[in-house]
Amino acid sequence: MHSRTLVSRRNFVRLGLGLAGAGAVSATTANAAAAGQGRAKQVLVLFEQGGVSQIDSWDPKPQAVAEHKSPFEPVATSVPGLQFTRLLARTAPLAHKLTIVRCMTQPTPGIGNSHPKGSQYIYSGEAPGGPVEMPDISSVVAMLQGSHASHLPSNIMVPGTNEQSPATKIGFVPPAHKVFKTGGNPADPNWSVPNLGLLGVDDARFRTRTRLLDRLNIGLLGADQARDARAMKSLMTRAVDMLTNPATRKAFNLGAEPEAVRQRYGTGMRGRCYLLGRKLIESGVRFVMVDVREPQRSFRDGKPVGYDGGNNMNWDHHDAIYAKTHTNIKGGGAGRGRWGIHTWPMMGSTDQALSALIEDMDQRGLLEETLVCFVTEFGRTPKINSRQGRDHWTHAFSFAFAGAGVPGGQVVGSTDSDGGYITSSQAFTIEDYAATIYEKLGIDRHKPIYTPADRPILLSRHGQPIGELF
Amino acid sequence: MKLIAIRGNDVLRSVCLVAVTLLLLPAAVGAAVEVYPERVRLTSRRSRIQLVITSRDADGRLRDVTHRATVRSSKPGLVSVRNGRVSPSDDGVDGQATLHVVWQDETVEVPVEVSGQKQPDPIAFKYETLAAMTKQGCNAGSCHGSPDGKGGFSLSLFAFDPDHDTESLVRGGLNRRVNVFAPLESLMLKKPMLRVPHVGGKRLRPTDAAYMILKRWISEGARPDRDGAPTCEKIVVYPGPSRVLARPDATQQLSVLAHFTDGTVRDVTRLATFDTSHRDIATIDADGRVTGQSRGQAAITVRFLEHLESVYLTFVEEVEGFEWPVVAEHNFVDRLVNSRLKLLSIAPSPTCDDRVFLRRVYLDLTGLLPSAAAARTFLAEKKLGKRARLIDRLLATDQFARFQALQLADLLRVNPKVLGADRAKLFANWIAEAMVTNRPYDQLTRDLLTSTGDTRLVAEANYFAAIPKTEDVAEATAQVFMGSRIQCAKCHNHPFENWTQDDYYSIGAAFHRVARQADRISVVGGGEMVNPRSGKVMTPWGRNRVMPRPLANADRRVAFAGWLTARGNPFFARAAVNRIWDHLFGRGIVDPVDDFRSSNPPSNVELLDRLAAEFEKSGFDRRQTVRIICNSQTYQRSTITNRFNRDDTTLCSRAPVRLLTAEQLQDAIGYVTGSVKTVEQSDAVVAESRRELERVGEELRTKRPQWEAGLVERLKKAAWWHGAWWSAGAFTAKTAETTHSKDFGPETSSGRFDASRAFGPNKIRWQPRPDWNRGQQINLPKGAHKAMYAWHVVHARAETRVRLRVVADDGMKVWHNGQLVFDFAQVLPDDKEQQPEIVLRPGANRFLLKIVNKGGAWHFTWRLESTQPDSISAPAVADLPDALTEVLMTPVEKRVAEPAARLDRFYLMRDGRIEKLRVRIESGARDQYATQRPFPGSDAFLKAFGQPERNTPCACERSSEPTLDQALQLLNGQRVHDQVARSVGRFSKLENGPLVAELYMSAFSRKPSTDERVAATQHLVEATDRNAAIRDLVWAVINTQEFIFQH
Repeated sequence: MHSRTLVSRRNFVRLGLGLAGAGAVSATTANAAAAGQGRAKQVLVLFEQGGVSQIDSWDPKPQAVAEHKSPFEPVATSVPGLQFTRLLARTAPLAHKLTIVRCMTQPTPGIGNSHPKGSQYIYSGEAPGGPVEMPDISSVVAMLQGSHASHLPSNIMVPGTNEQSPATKIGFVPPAHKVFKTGGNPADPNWSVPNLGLLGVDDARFRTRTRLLDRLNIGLLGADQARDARAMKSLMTRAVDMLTNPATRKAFNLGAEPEAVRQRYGTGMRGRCYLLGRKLIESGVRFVMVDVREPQRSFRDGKPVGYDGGNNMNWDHHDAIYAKTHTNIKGGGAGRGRWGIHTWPMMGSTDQALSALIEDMDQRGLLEETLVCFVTEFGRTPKINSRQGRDHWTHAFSFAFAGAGVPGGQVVGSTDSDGGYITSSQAFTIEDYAATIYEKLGIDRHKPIYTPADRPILLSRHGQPIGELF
Repeated sequence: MKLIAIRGNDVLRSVCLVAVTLLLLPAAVGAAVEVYPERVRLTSRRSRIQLVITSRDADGRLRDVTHRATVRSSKPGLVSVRNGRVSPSDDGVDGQATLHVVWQDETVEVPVEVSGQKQPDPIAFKYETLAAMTKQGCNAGSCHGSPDGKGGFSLSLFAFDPDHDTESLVRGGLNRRVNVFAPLESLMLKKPMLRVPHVGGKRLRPTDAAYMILKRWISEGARPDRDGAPTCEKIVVYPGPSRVLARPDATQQLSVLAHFTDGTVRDVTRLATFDTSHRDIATIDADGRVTGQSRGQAAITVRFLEHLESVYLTFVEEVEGFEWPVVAEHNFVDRLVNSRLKLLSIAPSPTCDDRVFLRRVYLDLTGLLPSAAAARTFLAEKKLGKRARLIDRLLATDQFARFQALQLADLLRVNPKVLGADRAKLFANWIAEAMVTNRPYDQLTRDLLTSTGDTRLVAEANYFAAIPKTEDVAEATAQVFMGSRIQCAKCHNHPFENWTQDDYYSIGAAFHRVARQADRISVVGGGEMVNPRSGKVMTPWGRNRVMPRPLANADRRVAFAGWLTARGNPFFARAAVNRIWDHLFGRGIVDPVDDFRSSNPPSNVELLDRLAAEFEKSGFDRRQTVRIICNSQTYQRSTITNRFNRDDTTLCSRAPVRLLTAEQLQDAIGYVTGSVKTVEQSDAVVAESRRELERVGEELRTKRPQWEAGLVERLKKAAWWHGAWWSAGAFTAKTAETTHSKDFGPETSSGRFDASRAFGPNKIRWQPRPDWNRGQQINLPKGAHKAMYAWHVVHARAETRVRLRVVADDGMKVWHNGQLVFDFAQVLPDDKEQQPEIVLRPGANRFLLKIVNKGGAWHFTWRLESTQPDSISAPAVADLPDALTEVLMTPVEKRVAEPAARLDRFYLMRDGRIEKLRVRIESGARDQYATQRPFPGSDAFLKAFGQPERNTPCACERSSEPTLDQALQLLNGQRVHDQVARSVGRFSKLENGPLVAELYMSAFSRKPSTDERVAATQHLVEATDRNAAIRDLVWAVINTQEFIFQH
């Protein structure tokens, strides 16, 4: 499997450590469910940060009051009776693969109504501010289930540079499971993953070095069995593997994808990141999160492109949500720096990339065992404000799910004619979303995990898995 | 006598515990069998007593024979015994009897008294029902004891709130939880017995002691305890506090007796909850019977409601072939460590080589590798006692002090993100200074805990600035200085230790009156800490558990700090020496290092106690403790294991293998690659700078009188000169007009200045403004409808005519000696109308300014312009700021301290050399070493290797676990790459042989072996690009296990 490793396979086995999952050196807890008991083996979260306006996307409201309605008319989808707005026109033919949950809500809006807290809410699956800082869902999953692919980190964020990416937390989980952020802009033709691209040396030289190291690494005389020594040794092996393994390169090499595929996803940052998400899932990474914010100076088709005035292109359209280009208006405020919701760097690229992703994953069979979640921290106000924008709205917003047994063509929950309040009897929270992920992965939520102080923590204890997704 | 994590006044309690235990021992003189208790009293129908029968071998070894001895009752109709449990017979008669306990040839008689058999014996709610539910696990944190309960049924965690539980059980659940008419239909029984579905599983069997209690309680009416029912004061666990038992075949029956306020004693052995600290060493069953599984020591923790006691059991065993090796014992550390090892048949490793010792002690004490030169010197030295001398030498270095400062700074949270760079630096330097002067640790602690003042000037006050809330201060103080994690007790009684919620808030009460206003830390006169659950006002922890009466204005922190740092305090010294031990061994005697609790036993109680005692005796001298430990053979052991100590990781039979810390590793790589100067080089720079500073200082001192005289002369000749500035404000009004016209206070006495007056409802006072000067734009904080007053005196030589030139676009008023001479709502710079002429009187001219702001930016400028062309002006502001002029004009002996000091500083700082030298001494030479800076910068490398964030007081912030990130950093990280590239500079000039030798001596403090030399040289020789080969070699050396680990 790995021909050029620091430690020969024989030695490795003698050390009593398997090759797979060698990075998880800390003890897994009592409820480490053997990976594979749940319907999902992997999770792909598409985190569109900033608060995607639900009535402009998944939950069209043609009957809303004229001054406040979305200018984008509803379109039919592949599911009779289900409509999206035309901003999701390319995703509409794939609606039969999706469940749209229109009754997402934040029960205590004050807690997650800001971007840092709302994002932390999404990452950790629990409203922040509790007595214990909760780790990211991806870190918990990495700790309990590890990864098939030892040549890649178990939980990866692509690119992990959205404005709120500092809200990812390791909490009380061992630091080994911290999320690995790829960084950069995959649309940049010169992009390579920091820390995984060899610095200053080429493959051949690196191999020479590792051979030299093998000769000189006499170890710790008489003390090689010390726990940390063994752990470090196995981690070095894994790291060398990651740095030299063609499979690692392959997992990140967008250039290896056929042109048609790359075009289908879209050639801006979003398309590249969604494509990269698929590739990482394909390579066996347990938990991938894609959090795109198209930068002002970006690339399309490998060529530089600029989005004038768009220096903060998440979904936080407080100002001029329907601007034809940027949202920087006179008297504007918090909504500066974006482009209008329908423009290419926003829903344009999202619709394209999402539809490409679902179709592509389905065709490759990846939807069988991968849970795909399209999420955002909250929605936007049904009323347009004085700056022609929409503000945060935690009472009702929409998520979309696919894969790993999620029924296709289903709508869960409903909202009133303005798209502001939930009218269905069910409503689901971000804790329920987290509980769904754990349940799909087969993790026993009734068995607590423990902080270093021995305090029992139950995973998403305030949530219940969303029944309609099973 | 152990004193682990027991509250202050529990010292007495524990002494009594031992005394009582001793009294209860041998019933008969010279007998080899002991029975506990020596007298049995059964006081009610359901009363039971668990006997503990111990046999003492000829060699003094104790063996528990409770379940093997024969016990006969003299009156079976009155009292019977089974499995060591004594119970009254079913006949229900009072009376007296004797138990004959027979083991081998010995017999012990135990008198029994039976009473109260005719009285009803109802189940007590708290001490039986709730205890039973605790035992069965119903109210654990992951079940019904969790904050929201489970399945709609909520109990308090481990029954700390009986009222809540009464509500839940009796009235909650639609009254289905208990059914007094058909007890077996109660959900409280049906669910845990799994007669109906229960997510928690089967938790109760009819054979459990709890079952009888619960069933009976329900059938007796499910009554809560009546008011005034006796409460449990304490539990007594026998045997205690510790015992050594010989394996194999080592079991120990425990007896747990609960003592109540009405004098009664009940056996609760079957109702207490048991826990073991090491399941692989000792296990315990529901009836309190311990089984020793393997050699070692474990703490059995016994919990009965809010009472918690631990028993430390050591299991020893004959080990085949074990022989204690010949090994030196240098001091008491060795003797105490070895006595434990001998007991447990663990053989210590021999003393390590010189080169291992050298590298280890350098890294532990200074954080830095020994330079190649220093290594060669040490290895070549032949005179005896070189290790002790090296230790002394290193302890005296600045590097040692600063490395210690780094560790303390971690705990005290010197965090530039929270404090700001300036205050963090101030705090860090204060800590470094304290380490350099070896300030006694108790003084340091008291300084921190009782600090007040402006955090920009008083460094230690930043302890409170870094921690915003009282609860956090209580937690941090307890964790850092008492080694106790009381966090759990914030919301309920601590589940693993004797800390109650009341204790938590009592400690908080000591710190509750600390006020944080802007940059100032001060103590306010009032404010009480309230336990949020009970609503009780908590009194602070002090010398007495409860202060006799609230001392009105006294700083409660003083009493707390006094108690904490007093000799004999069970926490302070132990926590401190434990941290030092942890630093030198990678693991504290108590581990985790800041988690002292009776359920977490020290690996060597006697050692901890002795180190703590020595620490106190030395005057809390940390350096001395380090000296003692480093000189022990225990510290100097090698890491090589032997057959008898392979499994030991806690008793220090061998040195631990430890990954270098983030800062150590960064500096080590820096040194080997030549990216940073050696310590010797930077020490030389510092010494040189110090000398230079002396010289410059001397030079300036000689020139000072000349400088002053020159300025004074100019001032005397000048037509006028300006004095210091004061300001009062800002005052706010409702409208711009009012702001302009209203007198907020200072105007009433515009001709006089009184620094003690306070104006307005907010009691605003005059503040000195040493940063204000004439002719400069003075910026004021933004705000609408604000007014600021300024006081300023101008001294004129003779009567002089001057023109007033002021700038203040929203308006200003000026009074000269009480007369309003300027009053404009809008001041335009070039409006000649707004430049009145004033006549300065000879001597002092008092000016009161009122600067108004309508909104937006706010600033003003003040200038007096001469009307005579040839008038001599005072020295420019750059040469002498307004604030210092008055000082200068005062004769030296009459000068006030603070402004005089400011003048001195100004004079010195005029000469740029002073500042440059100061910076070079304080940090310049050292800034490149991460281990020498109390707050090193943050970068990906340091973060990956566990540099703490300094957001919490927990030592666990510094993660010491190997991670994938670390491996990637070493193999391919940016920092390593850059530094390896630079290594060419250090090595390229050397020939192959000397190069390899120098590299090895620098990295490993040893010569390369033949194989290593061959391999390295071969690589250099075969390379087409020698520089690239050097880089490969350095890279490889840095990535070896031997380099990144301490061994």
